[in-house]
This record gives sequence, C-alpha cells and structure tokens, in this order.
Amino acid sequence: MSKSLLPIQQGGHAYRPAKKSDTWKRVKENKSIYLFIAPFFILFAIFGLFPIIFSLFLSLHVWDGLSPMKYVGLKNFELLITDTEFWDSVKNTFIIWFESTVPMLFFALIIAFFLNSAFVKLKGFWRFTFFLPNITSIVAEAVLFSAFFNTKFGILNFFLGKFGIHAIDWLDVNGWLQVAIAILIIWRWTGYNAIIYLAGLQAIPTDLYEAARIDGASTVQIFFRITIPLLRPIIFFTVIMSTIGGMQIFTEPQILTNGTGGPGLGGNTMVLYLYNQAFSNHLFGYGSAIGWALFIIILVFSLLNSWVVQRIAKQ
Amino acid sequence: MQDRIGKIHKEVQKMVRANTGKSALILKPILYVCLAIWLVFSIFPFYWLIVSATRDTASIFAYPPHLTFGNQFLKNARDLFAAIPFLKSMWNSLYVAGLSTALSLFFCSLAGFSFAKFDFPGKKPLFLIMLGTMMIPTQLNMVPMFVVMKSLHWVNTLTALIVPSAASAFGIFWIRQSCESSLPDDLLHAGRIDGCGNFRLYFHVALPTLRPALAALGIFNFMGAWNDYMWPLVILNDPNKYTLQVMLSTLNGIYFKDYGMVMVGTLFATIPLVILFFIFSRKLMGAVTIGAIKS
Amino acid sequence: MRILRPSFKQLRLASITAILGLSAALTGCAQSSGASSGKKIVITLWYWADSLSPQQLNDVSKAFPNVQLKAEVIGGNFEEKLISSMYADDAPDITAINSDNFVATMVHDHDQFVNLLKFPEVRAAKKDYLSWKWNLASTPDGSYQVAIPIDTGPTVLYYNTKLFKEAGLPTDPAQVSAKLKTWSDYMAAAVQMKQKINVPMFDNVYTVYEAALDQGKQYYFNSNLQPIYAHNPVVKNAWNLAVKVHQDGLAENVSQWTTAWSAAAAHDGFASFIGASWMVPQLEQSDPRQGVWKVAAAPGGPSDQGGSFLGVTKDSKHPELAAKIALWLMSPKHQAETYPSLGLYPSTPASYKMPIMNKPSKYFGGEDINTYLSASAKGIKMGFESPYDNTVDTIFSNQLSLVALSNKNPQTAWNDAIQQANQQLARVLA
Repeated sequence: MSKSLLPIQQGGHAYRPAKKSDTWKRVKENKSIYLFIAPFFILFAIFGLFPIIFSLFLSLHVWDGLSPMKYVGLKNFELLITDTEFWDSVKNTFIIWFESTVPMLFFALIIAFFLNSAFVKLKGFWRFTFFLPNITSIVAEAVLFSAFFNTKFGILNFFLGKFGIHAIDWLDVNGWLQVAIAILIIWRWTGYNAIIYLAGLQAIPTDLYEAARIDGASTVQIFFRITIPLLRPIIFFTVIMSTIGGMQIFTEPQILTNGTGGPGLGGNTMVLYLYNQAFSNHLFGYGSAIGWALFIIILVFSLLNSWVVQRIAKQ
Repeated sequence: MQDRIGKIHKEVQKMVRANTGKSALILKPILYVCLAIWLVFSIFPFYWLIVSATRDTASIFAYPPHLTFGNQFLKNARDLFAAIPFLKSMWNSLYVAGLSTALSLFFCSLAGFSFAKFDFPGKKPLFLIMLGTMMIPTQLNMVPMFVVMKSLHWVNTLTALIVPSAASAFGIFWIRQSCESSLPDDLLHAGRIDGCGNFRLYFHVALPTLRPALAALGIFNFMGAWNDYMWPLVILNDPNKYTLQVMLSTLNGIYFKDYGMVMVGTLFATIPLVILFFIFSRKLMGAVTIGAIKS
Repeated sequence: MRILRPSFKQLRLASITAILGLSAALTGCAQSSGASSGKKIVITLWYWADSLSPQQLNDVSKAFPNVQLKAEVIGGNFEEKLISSMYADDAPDITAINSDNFVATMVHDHDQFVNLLKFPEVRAAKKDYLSWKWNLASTPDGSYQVAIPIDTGPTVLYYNTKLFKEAGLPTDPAQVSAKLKTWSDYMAAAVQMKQKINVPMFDNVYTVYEAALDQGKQYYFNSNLQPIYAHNPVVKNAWNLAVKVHQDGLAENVSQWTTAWSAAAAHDGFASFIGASWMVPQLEQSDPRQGVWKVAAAPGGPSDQGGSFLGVTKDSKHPELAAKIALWLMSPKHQAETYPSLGLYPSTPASYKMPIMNKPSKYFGGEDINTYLSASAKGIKMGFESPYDNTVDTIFSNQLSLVALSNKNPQTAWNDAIQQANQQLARVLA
C-alpha cells in the first residue's frame, strides 16, 4: 500500500535480492519515520536541487526575465572569463577577506587569552559586551557606520584628526572602502570568535599545564606544545567559517555604497556583482554563470585554505 | 604571528602567576586597559546610535561632533512613522522570523530525532545527502530560486521567505547530536512499553528532553531570519511587504537627508534583538561555542 | 463629468456583481475590486520620493470617489523592483518611470504596458504635452504609447551667492548668466574661485560630465542602435572636461543623493552645479538657509536631464481607470501646482504662463527661477536615447570616479570604459 510513498527503497532492495523481503519489511515498519524526515528532502528537492539544475540551464541562455529565453551555449562563460569587472570583484573580495580575517582572529585570540586569565573580574559582563555587536543586523550596522565614515563630518575622521591624521576618504577611494568594510566585519565578528576561543582555552585542563611545569617546561614550550595543538581544531574552525563568510560578503558593501559597489567599484564583491548583474541589469543567464564561477572559487579556496591551515597548525 | 601570540601568552601566564605578587599591580591595569579599549570599540557605536537618534541632521553632522543627547527623538520618531510603514515592516519581520523558527524547530527536531534514534533502511545515505546539501552556497541558487518563486506565485510574498528555510540541514544535524548526547535510550524504551507510537514518543518523550537544544536552535534561527537581507531584497517588491532589514536599507536610501530619522529607524530595528540577547545571552553564547567545539 | 463617469460605471458594475453573485464574466472584476459592492477599487501606484505631489495623490480619492489609491514610495532600487514585479505579473497599476534612459528601456519592453492610445481621453490630451517629451515614451512608429509625461528636466546653474561674492564673481543671476556663458568661462571662474578662496566650484566630476554630455545632440548610440560612444566627440569632450576639472582640483568629490553631498551643500563645500529643476527640493532640504543659492542659465547651453513618466502596466485590472487617474494627475493645472513645492518642471506648456509658476522664490532670495528654467526648456533639443544608455553611462561614470578619486590614469580609464561597455553590451545582446 505504501509502495509509492517510498521510492527511495525500491532502488535499494533491487540490488540486494537476498534481503529483499527483510528490507521491505523494515521499510514498512518505519513508514512514519520516513514521513518524519520527508519535509527536509521535499523542501530540498524544490528549493535546492531543482534550482541548481535549473541554474545550469539558465547559464546557457540569455534572458532578461521579460523577453523570451535565447540559447547561447557557453557564451556566458566565455564572456565571464574575459570580464575584467568580475575578476576585479574576485580581487576585491579576497582583499576584504584578508584585511578582515587576519586582524579579527588575532584580536579575538588576544581577548580570549586575557579573559581566560585568573584574576579578570566580571567575566560575564565582558563576554556580553564583546558579543553584542554580533547580534545587530548587518544592515543596521552598515547604516550606522556609513555616518561614521563620512569624510568631512564623520566621527571617525574627527578622532583621527585629534591624532593629526588627515581626513580619509573612506567611502570613495577603493583601498579605504575595502578597509571600511573590513572594519565592519571586525567589529561584528571579533567578539564572536573570542567567545569561541575562550571556550576552547577553558576546555584545556589546568593540570595539563601543571604537569608540564613540574617536568620543567617553559611557558613558551607550554604554549606551543600544549595550548596551540589543543586549540588547533578551533582555530581551524574559525578560519574556515571566516573564509566561507568572507567569500560571500554582500550586505556591508551594498549598504555602504547604495548598491553600486562604490564610485570606483572597490566595494564590488563577487556576490554584489552577481546580484547587480542578475537583478539590476536583469541578466539572469549571466548571473547564473557568475553563480557557478562563485561556487567553484569558494570550493577551491576553502579546500586550499583548510590544507594550508592544517599544515601550519601541524608544525 | 605565533611569536606574538607566544609573547602575549607568556605575559598572561606571568600575570596569572604574579596574581598574588607585586607585579600584578602594574600588569593588571594594562590588561584592563586593553579590554576597556575593545569595550569602547564595541559599545561606542551603540551609544552614538542613540545620540544621533535624538538629534536632527544638522547637529549630527556638526563639527566638532556632539556626543550628548539631543531633544529631537520624538520628532524623528514621528517623521519615521509618517514617512514609511515602519511598524508594518517590523510586524513582517516578526511574522517571518517567528513562523519560520516554529516550522524549523518542528521539522528539524522530528527529523533529527528520527536520524538519532531509529534504524531504518537508507538512513546512512540519506543522512550523508542531507549533510552534503550544507555545502551548497545560497548565492548559486538565487537566480533560479527567483524563477521558482515566480511559478509558485510567491514573488513578493512572505511565504517565499518562510517555506524554503522551514527545515535546515544544520538544524537537523544539531538536534541529532543533542539527541545522541542527552536522550537516553532507556527513556524511549520505557515510552515504548507504555504503548507510545513513534510520534507520541517524539512528542511526549523526546521534545521535553530536547528543550535546551531547541531553545538554542530557535534563537539562532530567529536571529538568522530576522537579520536576513539578500533574499528578502530579491523577492519583495512592495514596501508593505518589506521586512525590517529591507525597509531599513530603503529608508537609508531615500531619506539620507534626514539622518536623525534614519537613525531612529536603525535604533528601533536593533532594540528587539538586544532585548532578546539580554534574556538569552548565556544560551546563545553557549550554543555558539558548542557548535564550534563539537564540529 | 468626464471624471465622474467611470466611477458610476464601476459602482454599477460592483452592485450588479453583488446581485448576481457568481457570474463567470464578472468574477475577475469582482475579485480585484475587493469582492464586495461596498469596497472601493484599489489602484496601486509606485513613485519616487519628491516625484509626485503627496497632496494631489490624496486628492485622487476626491476626484474618483470609488477609488482607493495606494501610492508607494519606492527606494533607490526602483527600476529593479519594477522589472521584477513585471516579471512576476504583479506590477502596480500605475508606475512612475524615471529618467530618459529608463523610459527607453521600458519602450523596448512596451508589451509590459497598456497602450495608452487605446483610450480616447489620452489621444485627446496628447496635444497638451511637449511633443519631444511625449515621443520619448512612444515606440519609434508612434503607435504604442507607454506612458504620460510627468515633468521635464531643463537644466540651469545653481550657485552659492555667498561663495561667488567672496571669490569676486558676480552674484546677480543676469550677470552670472552673461559671464558664465560657455564651459571655458565656467572653468575660468572655477580657477578664480580656487585661487581666491580655495573652494571647489563643482560638486563632483560626474555632474560636469553629465551636464556637458546632455548638452550634445547625440550620446552613446545612434538611432540605428549602433554604439558610437567610442568616437562621438560629445562623449569625449564631456569626458575631457570632467578630467580637466579633476586635474585642476576644482571638484569637491561628493556624489549627489548622498548625505555627504547634503552636508557639503549646507556647509559651503562647493560653489555651484548644473542641475535640472528637480534638484530644487534636494537643495532646499540639504541646505535650509534662505537666499544663499540662486539660479542662472547653465554654461554651455540648455539641456534636458531626467524628468519622469507615468505608465499603466499590463497587470492592471482597471487599465482605463488607471489611465484616467494618471491623466488627471498630470493635467496642466496639477503640473503647475507641483512646480513651486517640488521643482517639477511641467511637460505641459499651458502651465508655464500660470501665475503659480511665476512667483519669486523666498529660498532663492526672491528670484523667479522660472525665468531661466523656461528659457532652458524652450531651448531643449533631444538626441537619441537607447535602451542601453543607462548601462553604458554607469560604466563611464565608474571609470570617471576612478580618475577623480583614485587618481587612475585618464587615458587608461577611458580605454577601460570603452572595453567594459563593449563587454557589457555583448552580455546584454548575446
């Protein structure tokens, strides 16, 4: 009766005729379980699997959503390879990723070390306030910071001026715009990562330190032989998460530059470029091609990244 | 960099050891000063947000800047509500975040429980497929999803924001992990002996035990949905349907000349989450660290 | 009477619907009007802030008692939202279409709109509008009218009298117009301004580029849709002028429609800009000081910048009614009434003589700015705007910004602009 409900198993038992009746019996017994896990797979089929296949199809077409679709083969990909604006957006994304991730994780590590020291009082208070930036929405953050970055009347340049630093054109000059976006990311994510590191530090049992010290190990030795190896998986995790997040930066530059990517396109990240080509210029086919390029870039870079991080951590 | 970390660590270790000694008198303040600097960096934007929300544009952009509260708050708030359907967008966000969280908790706990505690043919491949779906970046799907939404007639509806995220692979994974660590099999056997079917077992035995895990997942989900920006921006066209984030970005785009008003909007959009965080901060930070340490 | 007729018709229709209940022919109509006889017909309208008068939008329900107008201000991504709603067959009944570039795109996609020439009222009203403006929203053969003109964008010179005085330049509009006749006069004045008080004459290089470009009679494409941007002297001259402004340090580098621009305007950050009449509210809201700014004739001659349209989309369930509302909003009388508050310069010549348009403005120190606006409007000669002008213009302005803000080599930037424009067109036309 429920045969049609469970198509997945029909293929399965066909390969194992010996267990046929047995498997089928168990499938029938577990009818309700399949029902329990079905929602995810149904939703994924409609909103995950189908769109992926469809985006391959779209990337072979030129389509503005209004006029009829036109098949163009691999033309979109050919155009993408020679698209300087796209490669600039890749470059911008990596610059912003680097400028944000390195200071962010560095500061997070320091903060975690400090918070882990025995005599710091009010640990709950510090944790709460350092984490607070993370819960504001990126939109609210970017709207607020865009006022900070105002060249003539922004509060940031005012403070910098107190130290004799000449007014910086934060949102107009490519290099500074990238720094500004990185500052937004650092503000939002440093506390978050510090909390993670802190948990990792706290998980290192103190008798491990004491035992090492009794054996005559110096603090530096303890740090490299015990702390870093034990913290390694967590550092690894934060680097991977920052990489995945960093490759997909969109909201910060979108709000700071009113969607344009900045006057010199310094804030034009990969995803912002995808969004603008697909939804502002209504090039759905080209947008899909960018989506695939983006997928491949993120995949390759994440793998490369984890390989490098693991090697460094092992040394 | 490791060198620097090493030095810092050494310093910290010294401080710890010197806790009772005289040098703590010098080192302690340095440590606190460093923490205080970061505190100012974290908190000042919030303070400045409140300051600008109480001022008019001219005095926000005065030079030197004013760092004290003004008296324009009520006027700014009135202007805000007159200019755009702000409360409507807040309601939309609440609706989307609330409903998608509720659905997600239900579907994820049901599936996570099934994957953790039942043995059924195809379990392993299905679970691996599910984990594999987490690797797909959402951006890849953005364009075709828009087309799918058109054929479902869901463009410019809140449904388009709720349904696709109603069951997440991450959530199912999360609940499965919690089931394995905090739901003893004996409890389920006892339930079985009492004559519970699978669903009643889930509802009466699993759910109550999973409450802490569900709470953490729920906050995660709610905040994620509340702060989501790109997909609502793609799918919503009519300002009456806008979620808070899209409305805020529109407000910033249109009323850049009335900065006090934009800041009041930003403040109102931030407050609910600060309150939520105030109540659930331990739970949320715990969830963040568990996620990191476990995986 | 003409206005009241549709309302009676709709009311009758609605009551018949109520009586008959489920008549197949009328269900579609009944659904869209709220399914019951007592409810009003909802007409949605999308527009930009400051592009229609809120007062007149309110008055629609008085003129059309059976209509409930839902007018929505759409933000900076208006065009993107409009196309995506059209794609989803969910566009508003009436929509504003801004900028000459975008109306060309919409004429290209004219099947998304109702042909307004279907309605006798529109055909009759055609003669009331400036013909060059009207034609911007028609297909080349004139058989399909996508939209009704809202305003035109005659350009003038806005200048800060305080700074002009300090720099030793004239402050009286007539004298300024006489002294700054050409671009070289304007540049000379800019140099003088910089030498005397070290304040930039221009807000940004893009404003200079756009003003000089619009004064030409040909832009990026010829009327056969062939790209000419690489060789058109108008484009190159405008580019060179903008580059010169940058090299001589004559621009403040604040983009229009940003907080930075507003702040700079209010704090004497730049001394002048060439802009259309719709910059009046921008300026007034940015710099509340009265009598500081005045208006003179634009150096280099008159031109048209922007100015919007109102179209009725194919998704409208009540196209005729929507067209009537659009026409009512854009009557010569209403256009004249919008001018003093929003600076929307009418597309209906009958408005120009109305007293409401010729009053001295307090904000501009008692000047009747229509003197220069009307002179500019009369002198406008439009060139051909293609559906792709928008795309190309964005690329040129980005490269120009790189020159101005990141000191990119102007020749490299020019070459990159041409190359990127070629690339983007290849994507669009692939």
